[in-house]
Amino acid sequence: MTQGTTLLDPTSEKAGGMRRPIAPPPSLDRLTVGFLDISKPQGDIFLDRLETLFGERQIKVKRFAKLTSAKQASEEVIADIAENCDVVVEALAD
Amino acid sequence: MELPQDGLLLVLKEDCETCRMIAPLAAELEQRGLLKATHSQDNPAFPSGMAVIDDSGLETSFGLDIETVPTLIRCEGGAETGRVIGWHRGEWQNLTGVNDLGVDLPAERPGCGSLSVSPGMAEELQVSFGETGLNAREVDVDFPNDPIEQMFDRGWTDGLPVVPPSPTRVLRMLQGTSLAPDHVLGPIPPSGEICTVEKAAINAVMAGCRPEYFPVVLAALDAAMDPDFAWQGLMSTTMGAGVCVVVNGPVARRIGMNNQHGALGHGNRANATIARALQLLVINLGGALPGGTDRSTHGHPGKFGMAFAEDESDDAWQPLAQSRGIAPGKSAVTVFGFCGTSINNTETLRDADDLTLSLAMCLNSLYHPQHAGGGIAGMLVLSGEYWRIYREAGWDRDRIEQALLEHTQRAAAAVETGETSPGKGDNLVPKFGPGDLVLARTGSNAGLFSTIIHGWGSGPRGSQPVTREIVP
Amino acid sequence: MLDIDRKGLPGVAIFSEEFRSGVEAWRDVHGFDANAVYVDHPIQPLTEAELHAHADGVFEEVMAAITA
Repeated sequence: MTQGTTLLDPTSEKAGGMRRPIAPPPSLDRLTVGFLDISKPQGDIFLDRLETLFGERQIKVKRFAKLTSAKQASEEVIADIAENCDVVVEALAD
Repeated sequence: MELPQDGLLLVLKEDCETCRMIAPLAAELEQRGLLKATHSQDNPAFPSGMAVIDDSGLETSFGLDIETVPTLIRCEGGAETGRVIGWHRGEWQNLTGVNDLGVDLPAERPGCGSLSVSPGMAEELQVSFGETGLNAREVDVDFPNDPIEQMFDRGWTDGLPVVPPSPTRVLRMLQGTSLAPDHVLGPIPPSGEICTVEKAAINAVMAGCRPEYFPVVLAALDAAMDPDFAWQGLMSTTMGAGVCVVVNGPVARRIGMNNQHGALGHGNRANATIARALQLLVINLGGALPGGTDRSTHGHPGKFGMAFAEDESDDAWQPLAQSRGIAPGKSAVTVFGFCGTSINNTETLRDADDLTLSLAMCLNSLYHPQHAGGGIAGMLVLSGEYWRIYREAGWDRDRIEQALLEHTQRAAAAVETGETSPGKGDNLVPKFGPGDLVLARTGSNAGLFSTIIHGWGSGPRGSQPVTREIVP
Repeated sequence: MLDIDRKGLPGVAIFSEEFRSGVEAWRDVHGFDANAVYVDHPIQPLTEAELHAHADGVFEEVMAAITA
């Protein structure tokens, strides 16, 4: 079966049907920022520099990486991030 | 869809004895140059040897309003000027002008149901070929994306999966009301966005309602929109209030609601989905979710929605809707804002007076044992066994209610200490104000339990129950 | 970012400019208004110093996306 589905919008349609992401915290004090490297070349160098900048502001960073840029991050990696981090920066798609 | 300029058009299907019987006549009419178009609903090779048009998509059948096959239509000047449904020799001869047509066949024979009016097809065809009258924005989910996951991602759910609201499903839901899809119902809190019948139908589909539940949903929606219900306050309070819908009257049995084992819980589709439709409207149209405009500290499972039918099998029990002014025999809903439920176990009591005293103690704990003086609401749901005790003692709804109101009064000093036993003497403080205590009866006939449905703030400064008759 | 958001975590994804229209289209398909920050394209031929400069250039924007 290759047919799609049409849904009728149950909302007021004012937001253009978009769900807003989870609201960020008021500050990053005492929080852990997860860096998810999507594993394209050069992305690690870019994230290294961001990690340095975060460090200068005493913001704790934890690094994660996809196995390959060709596929979505595995359930294990996402679960690991969810367990250990409060906010996520994902990079670098080009 | 174009009709023949001048001539006959025939719609038939192979899976029909009458169609197979008249097939040779159709071939004869085609040979004579009278039959200009033959549309087959199930097999483009039937009748064999003829120039047959494939109408397996049923577009022509839908466009021509075919309900029975065979249907023979005469066209003049490109417009229909007559039709015969089924086989009737005289009428076929008259329509075709062939006076000796079918003389070897029976004088008449009924046709078969057209595939275009099979169960469920009408709405599918209306979506494909007709005007739906629907105005909501369409969101296409392309294969292989999963529409269930998409609706989660779009924030359209209450945390549980919802039924994809396809145009076909929404059209079917709209069969449950005579109101037009663009009929305005009223504002949904907290955004105040206006809800139409169409938006209500979309959310009712998502909740899992069947079309026959829709009049109940609409009545509950109308009741909830009554300013006395204070829906805005209920959906945003930190106490975490949901909508409880009590259904009375013949509609409850007609749509298969549960008023026996587990009536306040899970397992029954109507019970589970009717109030869920209202809560989904608050999320989707009202824009409320916990942590946003819904400030519930804890919330409770009832915020998914709770609906039940009263047990009206005993004439001695006055149904809730009737006690609130609805005429006997009519179907109605009562909406009640609630913050949770608790069960009361009084298994050793067999006497109406003792039972009342015990229930009064449980009711005095509502909100907090030290709360009195009115301003809070509660619903006491009596099981079959409790009602049996009261009925055998000759008590009715009014007497039970009055006794409970009397026995939930306490001395001010007792309130201060949180003592829940009924008070005696003068200067007693009531637990409930006028109209704050509601009684209902549902559940099985086994189990000396009652359930208290905890209300919210009551009266003009809080939420009041609202009753509405259900209009088909 | 949808898988991260489904876990209840806020976040932001960084793309090169080439991805901008793709991100917009992805948002429409999924109905999810993901946070995105863009750096100049291309990325692959850049030196370490140039990559660091990109990171410096978007640092404040990234911080703004992950704090209220």
